[in-house]
Amino acid sequence: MNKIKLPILAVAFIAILFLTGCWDNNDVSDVAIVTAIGIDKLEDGRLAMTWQILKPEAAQPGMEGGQAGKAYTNYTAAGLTLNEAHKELIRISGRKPFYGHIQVILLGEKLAKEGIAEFIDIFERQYEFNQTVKVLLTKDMTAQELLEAESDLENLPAIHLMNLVEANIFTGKVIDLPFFKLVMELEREGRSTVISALSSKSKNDKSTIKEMQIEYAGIFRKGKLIGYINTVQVQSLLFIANQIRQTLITTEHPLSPDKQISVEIVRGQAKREVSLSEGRIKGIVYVDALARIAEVHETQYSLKPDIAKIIESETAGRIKQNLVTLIDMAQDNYGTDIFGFGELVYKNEYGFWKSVKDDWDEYFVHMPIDVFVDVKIKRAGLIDKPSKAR
Amino acid sequence: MFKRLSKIIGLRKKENSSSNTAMAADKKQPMVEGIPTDINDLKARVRREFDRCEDIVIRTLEIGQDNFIEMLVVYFDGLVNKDTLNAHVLRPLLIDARIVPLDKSVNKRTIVNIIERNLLDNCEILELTDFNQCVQNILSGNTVLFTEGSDIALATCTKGFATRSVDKPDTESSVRGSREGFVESFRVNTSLLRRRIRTSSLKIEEMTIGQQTNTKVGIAYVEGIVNKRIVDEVISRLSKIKIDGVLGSGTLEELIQDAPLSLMPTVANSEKPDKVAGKLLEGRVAIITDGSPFVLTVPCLFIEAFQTSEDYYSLPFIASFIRMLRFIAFVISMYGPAFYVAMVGFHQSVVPFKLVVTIAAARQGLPFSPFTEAFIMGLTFELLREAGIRMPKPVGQAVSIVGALVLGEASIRAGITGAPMVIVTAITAICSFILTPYTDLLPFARFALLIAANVLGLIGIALVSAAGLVHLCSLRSFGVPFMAPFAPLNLSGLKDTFIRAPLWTMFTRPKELTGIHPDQNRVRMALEISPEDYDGNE
Repeated sequence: MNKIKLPILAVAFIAILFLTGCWDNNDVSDVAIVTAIGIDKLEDGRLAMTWQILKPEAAQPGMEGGQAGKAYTNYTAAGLTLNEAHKELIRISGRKPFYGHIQVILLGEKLAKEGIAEFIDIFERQYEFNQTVKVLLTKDMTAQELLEAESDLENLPAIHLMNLVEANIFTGKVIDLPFFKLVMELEREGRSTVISALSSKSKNDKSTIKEMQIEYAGIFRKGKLIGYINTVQVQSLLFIANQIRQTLITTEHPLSPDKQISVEIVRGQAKREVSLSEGRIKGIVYVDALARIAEVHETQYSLKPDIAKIIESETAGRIKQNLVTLIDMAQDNYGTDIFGFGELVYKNEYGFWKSVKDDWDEYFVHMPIDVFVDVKIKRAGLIDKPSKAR
Repeated sequence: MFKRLSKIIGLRKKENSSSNTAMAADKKQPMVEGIPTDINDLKARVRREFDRCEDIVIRTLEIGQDNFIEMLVVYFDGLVNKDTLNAHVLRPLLIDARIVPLDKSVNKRTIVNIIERNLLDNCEILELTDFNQCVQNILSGNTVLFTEGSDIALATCTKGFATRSVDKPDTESSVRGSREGFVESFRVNTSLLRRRIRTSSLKIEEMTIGQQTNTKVGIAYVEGIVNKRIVDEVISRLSKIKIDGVLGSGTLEELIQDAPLSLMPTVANSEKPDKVAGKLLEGRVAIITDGSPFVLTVPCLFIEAFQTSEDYYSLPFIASFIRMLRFIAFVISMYGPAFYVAMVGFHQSVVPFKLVVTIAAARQGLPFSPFTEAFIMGLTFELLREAGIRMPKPVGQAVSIVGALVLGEASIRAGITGAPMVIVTAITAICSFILTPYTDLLPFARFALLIAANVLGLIGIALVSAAGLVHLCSLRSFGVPFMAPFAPLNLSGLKDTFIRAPLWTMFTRPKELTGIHPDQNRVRMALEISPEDYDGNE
């Protein structure tokens, strides 16, 4: 090291110390912590972006929340692109947003109908953006309206919404779709996306999240919303997609049809297969479920192996019936491959895929799909025979 | 930069040392000055030497029955034990000498010889022929007897000055270990070591350092375990020291450091004889300085700060757990504030959402940036610590009250600092006290990391850590790599680092300390002895 370089280096190092404000050192109290984003398409074709911004002083646990008011505030702005809206939001809120802790992204119904693929660009580009954020649709209302709804359970509606999705591991009726997975599904050939949708129970009351429900899931074809399926169908879809953690199947008791029995699936393992024979593609779905008896109203029979067999086959029948209904619906009503059979063809039968890839959905509609369901009851809880009033 | 600095300082050092040696050559050559045989010359010489030293006592005696022989008794008032002097020196000379014939012709012996062999009942007597040595003896508390007509002086051990008795060490307290601590007097300290290692292999070489203070310095090691080259290096470094005064072991420590400009100490110190004995048995060299209760041990490795003597007295699982706690404490006390600043300023996405909410809420409306806050709090803590150490104990409590209540509580209430920062500072402070050898240098690392974290976030922390690690790996202590046994890696040495393995698994002495000479006995424990062998099924 020669003599000239040393002082220059020293000055440079010292200068760095004073440049701290110019780099991306953002104090946590100076940024707007965005907890949820809602995106809507306006009537004039512009895009509206809604931020739900955290107000930390009111959200802090242990502080007297009464006088502090709501722990969040919503800001909405519109622009031709989402970045325009984003800059506009900075202009009106006066704060730089911090996207690292977004809990949910809500896509408005109008936007979904006109296509979502091109509007998620901003979130892929932003390095700060949390890619594991949950994505939800809003049905019969705008995302902005939904974000205005208060939560009586959490002090942030965004957390409440996220919890609704996360609770899926117990119910098996909501599609837990992180943002990065949505991007992958949109980009992938031979699969259509399904996103769970929030809707209001009553037409008029949209003031609290209690009034909201995730009752439907929107089916997308080529990035555009084409219709909805209900929760039972979502459950079936999750069975096929091998995403069931826990779910409940309720049927009539096979030996006394007027009594109900609930069987809880504790582990559902599904396998999809495609096979090519004589120039035709055939799809097969195997579902292997482990179950336990959750609730029995019938008081006559204790859970003997032969009774368990009957319940097993009854449950399997119910699941199979649901699956077949959903498959028929996808083929006949919506005509799009929401199960990802196309993906399997792409992977396993690439030669054939090349010939059908342009109109895979048309091919899918006529594709025979076999369903095999096997249920094993492993446990019956603490009792094997229900208590009976004598 | 570092090199240039050290070059400048190195140059100055050279100048100093050359002037020092010149001065030393004028003043103290090892030239022998004989003792005047004429009693009047002698008196004049002694008076001249101790001119205006008013605590000197020069007493003239006349001993014998018929023809009196004049003697001169010289000592410093206050350095000698007068009872010993009276009973075992003056009494034999003045009273018993009347019975013993002092005839020169008997057995052709000189009077000095008779006095030494037949009269004085003091245990330790030295024959001196050099006047300068006589002066040294007088200065160190001995009584020197000059005899008329003889060029041999007798130094009798009558040392008796006020010393502190062996006490609990202040800096390292122990639960199960010995509670003795070194004191200021050299001989007591060597005795504390000697009592623990009862072998003639424990060598204690002595030398005198300091032109004016003439401080006695002992170099202790266990022959057969120690690496000879380390001993030679220690002696050669110590003998090069030419300085006016050595008032504490810290002076020596600084002058024999391997890396004088480094923050890390390459010389360890301890107040506990059992700890020093343990280090001697591992092949280290101890340097005992008269007047200091801290005994230096070299070579000093990084890992030594994490090892306490207590580790070897408690069960291996407990000791290992505490070892790991110490490592955690080390990391926390270095990285605590820096990590907090990086998290709050740069990497909010990494922090769990609910924690972000809490921190953001606590930071809402605070006037300072996290860095400024951390800096102020860190500085305040160092101030409090310094005040607490130097203050007399009753006042020290007041300091802690002011620190804890007024500064901590009030600054949060007043909205000057956030509660998270106070928590971070507090836990950092607690952790920094766990590693006593590094307590004083951790603030440097902490502030360096803090600045780096404020500039570049985690990247800055990583960069500074890398630089620090490179520096640590480049250090050596008396030829032993400072980071051993991590770098260079010695797998069997790791048994005594993050964990403290059972004693019966650590049967060899540390390789990096004892060297790898094939002739050296490296095994410190019989290999076949492990608790499993005491099953009782013979």
